[in-house]
Amino acid sequence: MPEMNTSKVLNGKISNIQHFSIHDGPGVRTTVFFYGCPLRCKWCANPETWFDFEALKMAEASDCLAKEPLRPVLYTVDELVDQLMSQIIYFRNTDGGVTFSGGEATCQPVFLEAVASQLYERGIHMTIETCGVFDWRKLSKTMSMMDLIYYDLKHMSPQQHKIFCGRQNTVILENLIHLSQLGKELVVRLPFIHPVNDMPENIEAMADFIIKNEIKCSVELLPYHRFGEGKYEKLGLPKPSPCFKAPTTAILQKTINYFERRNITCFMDYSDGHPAAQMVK
Amino acid sequence: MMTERIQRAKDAYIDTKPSICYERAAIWTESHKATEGESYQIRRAKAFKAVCETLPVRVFDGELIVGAIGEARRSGILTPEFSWQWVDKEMDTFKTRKQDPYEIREDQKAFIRSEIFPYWKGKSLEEAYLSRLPEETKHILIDTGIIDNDSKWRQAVGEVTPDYQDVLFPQGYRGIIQSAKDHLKTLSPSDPEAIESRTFYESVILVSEGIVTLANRYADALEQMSTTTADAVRKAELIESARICRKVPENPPETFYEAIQFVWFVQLGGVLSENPLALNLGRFDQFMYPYYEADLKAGRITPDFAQELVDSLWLKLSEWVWTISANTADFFAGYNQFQNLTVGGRKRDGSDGSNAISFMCLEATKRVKTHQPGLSVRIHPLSSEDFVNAVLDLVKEGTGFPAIHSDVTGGQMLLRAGYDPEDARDWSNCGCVVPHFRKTGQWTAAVNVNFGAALEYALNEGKSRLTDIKYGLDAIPMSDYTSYEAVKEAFKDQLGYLIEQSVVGTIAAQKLHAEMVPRPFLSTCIDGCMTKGKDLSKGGAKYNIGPVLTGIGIGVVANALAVIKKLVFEEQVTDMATLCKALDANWEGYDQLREQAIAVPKYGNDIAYVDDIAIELSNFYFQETTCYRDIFGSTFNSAFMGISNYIPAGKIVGATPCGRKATMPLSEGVSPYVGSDTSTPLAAMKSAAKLNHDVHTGGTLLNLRIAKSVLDTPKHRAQFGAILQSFFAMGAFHVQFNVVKTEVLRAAQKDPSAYKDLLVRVAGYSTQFVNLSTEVQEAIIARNEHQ
Repeated sequence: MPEMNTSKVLNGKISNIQHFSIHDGPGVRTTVFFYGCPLRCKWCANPETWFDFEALKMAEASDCLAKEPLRPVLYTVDELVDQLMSQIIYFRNTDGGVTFSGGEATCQPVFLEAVASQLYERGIHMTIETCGVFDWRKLSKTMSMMDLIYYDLKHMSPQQHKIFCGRQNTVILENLIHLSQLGKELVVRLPFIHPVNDMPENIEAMADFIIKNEIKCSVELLPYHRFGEGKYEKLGLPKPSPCFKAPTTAILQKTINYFERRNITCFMDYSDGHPAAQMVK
Repeated sequence: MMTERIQRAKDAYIDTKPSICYERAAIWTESHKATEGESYQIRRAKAFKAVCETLPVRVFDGELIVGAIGEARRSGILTPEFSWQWVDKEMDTFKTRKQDPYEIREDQKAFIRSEIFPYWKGKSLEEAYLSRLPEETKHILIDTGIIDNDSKWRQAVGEVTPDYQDVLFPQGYRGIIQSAKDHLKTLSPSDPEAIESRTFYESVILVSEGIVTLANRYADALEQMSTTTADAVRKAELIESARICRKVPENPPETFYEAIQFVWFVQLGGVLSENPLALNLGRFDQFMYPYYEADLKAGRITPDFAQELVDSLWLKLSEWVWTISANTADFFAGYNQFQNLTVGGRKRDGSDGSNAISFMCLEATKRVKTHQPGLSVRIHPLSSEDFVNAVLDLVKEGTGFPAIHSDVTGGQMLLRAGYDPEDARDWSNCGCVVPHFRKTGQWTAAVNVNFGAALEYALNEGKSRLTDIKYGLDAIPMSDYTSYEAVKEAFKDQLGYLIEQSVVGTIAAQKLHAEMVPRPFLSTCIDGCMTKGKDLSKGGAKYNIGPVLTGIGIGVVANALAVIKKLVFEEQVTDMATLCKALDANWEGYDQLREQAIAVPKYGNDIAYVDDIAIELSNFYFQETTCYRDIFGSTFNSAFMGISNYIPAGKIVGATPCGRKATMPLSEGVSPYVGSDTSTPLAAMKSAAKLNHDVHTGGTLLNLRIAKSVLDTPKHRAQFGAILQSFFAMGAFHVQFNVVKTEVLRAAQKDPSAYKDLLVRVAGYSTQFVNLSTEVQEAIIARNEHQ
């Protein structure tokens, strides 16, 4: 039974398992934060997933970084699935499920597929949050098992994308087209940051791309917040630039209106406590 | 919005300090002086009637529902027939004591000491109880905190739910008097078997005449007031109120207003008769709804006025102050009389019973924010979304209300206790979280049993680690244990001994209650007493269910045993001798070992390693408790509930192997030890649900704290409702959510270790507050304040 063996020996690097998550998809969810990310967004809220795993372990051994939440843990497929299944009664009763997040879950494609397959067979609702930088051939099966996909689109300009996130957006745009053909519920997410991507040109380009490629999706605005800054301190990294700000209420409203005018559903979660969101409400 | 009248009444209530009123005690004493030699049944009935005939009648400003317990808006009464010694001893510190102080004047104290107490010397229940109790039992039962039942001999038992549905409303007291007379006609004075029944029926007539007289005296006063009131609106109100008092409780009520005034007269009668703990209102929404519906149909009432009446009742229920000793106040803190009122849930036929009155009750607690009634709700899988939402909206207010119960599990508990299925479905709560049926005589909080003490005696040769006094059974020195199993068995032996002594203390008290303090007035309220011709205290109720022994600290003991199992016998990082020294030293100088102990899995995190221990202990407690029978032949019942009892219970227990320091509180009900459920409330709920709630028919209690933000949008509220249903689907019985305020968040910043379980919603997810950086904590505090 080679498959069973795989599920016992195949390891995934997980930076955190967050039970009782009520934001990342419907119902009560468990969000699995995968370790590692191909991007280096300058506003990242989970910078601990950037580090080289071995380097972190060594650093921890030398006691200069012994901060628990930052340290990834190795899980076998079975171990992770067991952890997730402990919540099944809440998933069933709340129409919730599991959300794969990160870092970037697609950085560990074999492990992710093994976990997703097990949950798929159990009928668990699955959501993935992805930055879109992955090899479509390796991930198409996994993506086809998802019920809901949150897809980050940080900037439409390849150059700007490279400046702020460390890579161009070519693969991201290609994969978005692939994904939209799966017919899954798709939410394109815009981490909304002034003065990075809140200008009209970027918004218009995004809408153009969605319409031109007939992508069936809604757009969610995620106004910038600084809740991740504590981690930078712990990791001994400089904090994100103080220039990054949440766009003004006026811009938020204008953007929502713009997408609506182009027949693209656009929303933000007013409950996430963001002062700007409170005001728009 | 409260009406202006309710706002005024509430302000007056808040501005009034709880005070002691001796009027009832004075009348009661004079009556007893005049009835020497008669049976206790008759003497108590005559005393009650005398109180009804002479207690000053007081109508407070603007009241719609009348009937006052004493001079002040918040009055407590004295019941020297139960105990006067503690009052005599503690009266001088009533005003200054920390928990639940009372106002009392010097002239009152002097009167009480010269005119009331001397008569009761040698005659009180307390004195009789203490003189009859075996020395061995007395050693661990009386004011020790090891096993505690002082509310069963320093106070009346209470713990009853008047049967408005089937007894009181259909008959009225005129009907009850007639029924007693009819029964008397069938009993021959020459029949020796019938003596007790005849006495009982005679006592019923006396108390019934009493309560009718009291109502008529209120009618007289209201009529009098109406003649001198210039305000036309108030005048009309007084005339209407007088009409109602003339009618009920003598006759069956016909309107919602009449029914609610009836309820308060019965409540008042119950208070004056014995100052009971947990004189419950039962399924108020069920028995009041037909009157509301009829009134609406006839155009006699508006929803607003009905709400105002419910609000008024909430204030009346809160006005009565339960007079208790400092010791009892530690166990039942907060002037709480435990007048439980249960709404929602299935009807007798199994269909959903929530109705407009259920919602009014939730609304009343939300707007009036009184600590009474103890509002409980029953939720079942088919409860309407609106009802669950209304419940959660009330949770969000942060008052701790309502206590939320599984309709299904409650029914299962009653089935196990031996009720017929329809009756089992018709349960309501007694006191706090005891599933209960109104046609029942039961001591639902007979004894508190300290699990922590039992563990201490197993680990300290039967002695208290704090005082070195021997209370438990003989036990080997801690260092001599050679296996985890042996420790566990030794704990069970000690717990078994505490259970046995609790039974001894309870049956002694039951005997005395039946003998000395029968309950003629409350017997009129309970189905079965009239048919059997027997007082409630003598087993007159339709059902007699065995007394409940409440286990305190199961979380702490499960954690402690897990530490011994893991650190001593599995990993051998320490040994029993070292652990014993650490406990003796209250962990001083053993910081590293304590850290290791704290790191061992704790109950409340959905970890089988320790949860399995809790399951085993709870099953043992159930089996052991149900081995015993009370004076009516009913088996004792187990419970894991709590009031504030885990705090005083902790005061007498030294350091425990789980890392807890000496005298710190134990764990509450089936709740995790404070701060040790560091996962999520979902994990805490799963751990708690693993204990077999359905067998602990005396109730189980889970308390969790959450931040308001967890409930802040309709979507989150809906999800939380589904979480609740999940908890109940696992077989659990009760949960109460404490929604924390900003002060608590501030306290958590100062002392993170005590608030490790405190959950808040951050940006879309919920996590432990103490784990967040200061900046994020500040952001959350700001948001909490914003809402």
